[in-house]
Amino acid sequence: MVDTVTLPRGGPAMMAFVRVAVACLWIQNSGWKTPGDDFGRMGRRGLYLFTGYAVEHPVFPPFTWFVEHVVLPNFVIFGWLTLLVETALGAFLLAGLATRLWALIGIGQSLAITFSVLYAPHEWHWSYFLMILAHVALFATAAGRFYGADGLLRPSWERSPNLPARWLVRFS
Amino acid sequence: MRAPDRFALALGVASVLSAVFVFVHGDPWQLVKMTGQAVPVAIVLGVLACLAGALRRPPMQTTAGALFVLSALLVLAELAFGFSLTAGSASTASLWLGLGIGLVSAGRTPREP
Repeated sequence: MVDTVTLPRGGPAMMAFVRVAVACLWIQNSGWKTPGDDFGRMGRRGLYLFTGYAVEHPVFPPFTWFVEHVVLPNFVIFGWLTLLVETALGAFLLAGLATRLWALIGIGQSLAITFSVLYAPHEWHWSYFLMILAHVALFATAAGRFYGADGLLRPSWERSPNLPARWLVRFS
Repeated sequence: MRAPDRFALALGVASVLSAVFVFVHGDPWQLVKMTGQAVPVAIVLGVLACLAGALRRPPMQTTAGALFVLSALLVLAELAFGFSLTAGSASTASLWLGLGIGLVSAGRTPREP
């Protein structure tokens, strides 16, 4: 298995920029998830409104069933889950720690958003495709190894026999 | 200056610069909610991180990182329990958590002799 990533001149700095920009996407968008009004359930707005689009404008029937019968009836739990996942996505991509793992989680979260709002009115479908593709790029280039915490710590993880270090080598 | 020290310095500078968002409101440019109560945290911990990087002090980098992580957890506790000290949002918590994770990583990076 090839375990090194070589980018052409300027490539490492550009991928670090892309990683931080994608982190900013999650940082900014975690900000409007507010538990004070049960994540919009009280006034049917915010996260509750957008999640409900998965039922009103179905994209993928199994996901629609899951949202209608599991997510919406337990919305505060899923609201907190969304808030914490997106907060952590912003944080770990900003620091560049375990970047490939968080890129995969970002792909998953982007897919969930896509399945919720792709057919909703006034949405630009390429926004969601580009979100997914940006995370694919972070995963493919192991972007945390360039000007990120993965780049600092990975050599010591590779030398370590500990199980957490072995996992972090895979996640970075 | 070695890579982990430069990384700590960069994260400290980013924190100090983030204070400018106290003057920025709404989409698309308000990347993070920075209130009057949150600005001192961003500046004081940011300067601490800058000093830790410039002076090449790994324990100081770890300390600054731990303080950022605690500040992020405080914001999340504010959101959960409805009290207001920093008056931040999850975006504030996300930024501070990222800076904290980065600084702890810098402080824990082994320095080759």
